[in-house]
Amino acid sequence: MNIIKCEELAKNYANHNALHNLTCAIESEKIIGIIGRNGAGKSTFLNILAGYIKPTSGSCSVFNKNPFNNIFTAANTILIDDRLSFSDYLTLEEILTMGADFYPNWQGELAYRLLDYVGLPLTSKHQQLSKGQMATFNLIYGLVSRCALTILDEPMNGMDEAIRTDFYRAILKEYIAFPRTFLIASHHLAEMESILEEILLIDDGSVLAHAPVEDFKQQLIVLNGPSDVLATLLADKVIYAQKDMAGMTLAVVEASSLVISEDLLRTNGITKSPLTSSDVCMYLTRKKGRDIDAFFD
Amino acid sequence: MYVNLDSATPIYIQIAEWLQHEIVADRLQTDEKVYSQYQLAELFNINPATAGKGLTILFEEQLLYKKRGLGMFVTIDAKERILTKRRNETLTKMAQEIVIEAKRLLVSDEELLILIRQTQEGLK
Repeated sequence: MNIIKCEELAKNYANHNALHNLTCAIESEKIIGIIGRNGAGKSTFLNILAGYIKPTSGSCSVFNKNPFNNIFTAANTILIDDRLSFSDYLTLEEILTMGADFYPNWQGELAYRLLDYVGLPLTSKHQQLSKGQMATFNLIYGLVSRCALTILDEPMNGMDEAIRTDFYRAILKEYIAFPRTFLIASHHLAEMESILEEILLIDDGSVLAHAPVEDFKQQLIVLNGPSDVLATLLADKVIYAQKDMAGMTLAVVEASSLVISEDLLRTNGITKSPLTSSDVCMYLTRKKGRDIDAFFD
Repeated sequence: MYVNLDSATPIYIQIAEWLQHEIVADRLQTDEKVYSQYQLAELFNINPATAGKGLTILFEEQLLYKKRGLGMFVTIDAKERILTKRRNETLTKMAQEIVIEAKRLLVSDEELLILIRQTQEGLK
């Protein structure tokens, strides 16, 4: 069942278009990584899903409803980002007490245990927390709300590595205990990849790729072999990156564009190797001809 | 046991291989219940869907069978099947690689056989 359906979603601001033609369908009870370069439109997309921003055109449905100004979707959705603000006068304990009043599945006990684990006193004021502590508190708030749609926008920003590792595990354990849809936007794909089911790659305001993690990773491959052989083999193929040295060529290409058997590759002296998901994202989103080396030549 | 996230081998295949390893080592025996996808997810810190894919591989190879509502169990001849498969595929492939590498290093056939025998002696 789809929890989210967006069609040709667009959001235009005065001097730039944050989203255009974004179409996607997201099934419920999955952990999905929302990946994209800076300014790709991830946060705008997530804010539309949470009902905070009204799209310029196109349709967006969450729980089969338009999320904008909708109390049902608001009660079942939580968006955690670094702009999340609570009153300066409230202690963490008071903020948690209020959360319990608003979210029906609230896990107050778990919140207290997690705060104790990370060493955040209940009497602290939200505004006085350090950047990493604030991110930790906000993420705990998001986890214990147990909303059917939990959106985390760069939830680990500012946290140290030990806490990040702990909280990826906390997300996974919470997901197993109480399955729900998690959308997690992050620039740290490599460190969260193992807990994801799918990757949604946003580039330039629309969806560039959406697939299960392993399929996503396998869409590009690296070929390494004699330059002349590879030049003929890849004559009419899209090459995402290429490096030549001493008669050998390294080329990143789409796996599906390669219709040649493993044996034939081997006899031609070509080796095939996989890329990491982060590398796949990087190559897919790199603008044509935009090679940092070119600026130094 | 950790899954190797940097490995070229997909995580779900690593899970399938680990389960086969457990069967071969008799830590999972005939008709014994195997870990659920959620247990595997917790154990290896991976998404339950990924763990489920690993279980599906074993189910499709008939190394596991399903009992409705109870989970997956080890098939009666699972260990034998895994051993046969490894002999036919993995070991043959490794032997090929050794022979190719020996050729590259100008090691004669006799020398290679002697090396294998010596290695066997050393591991006894």
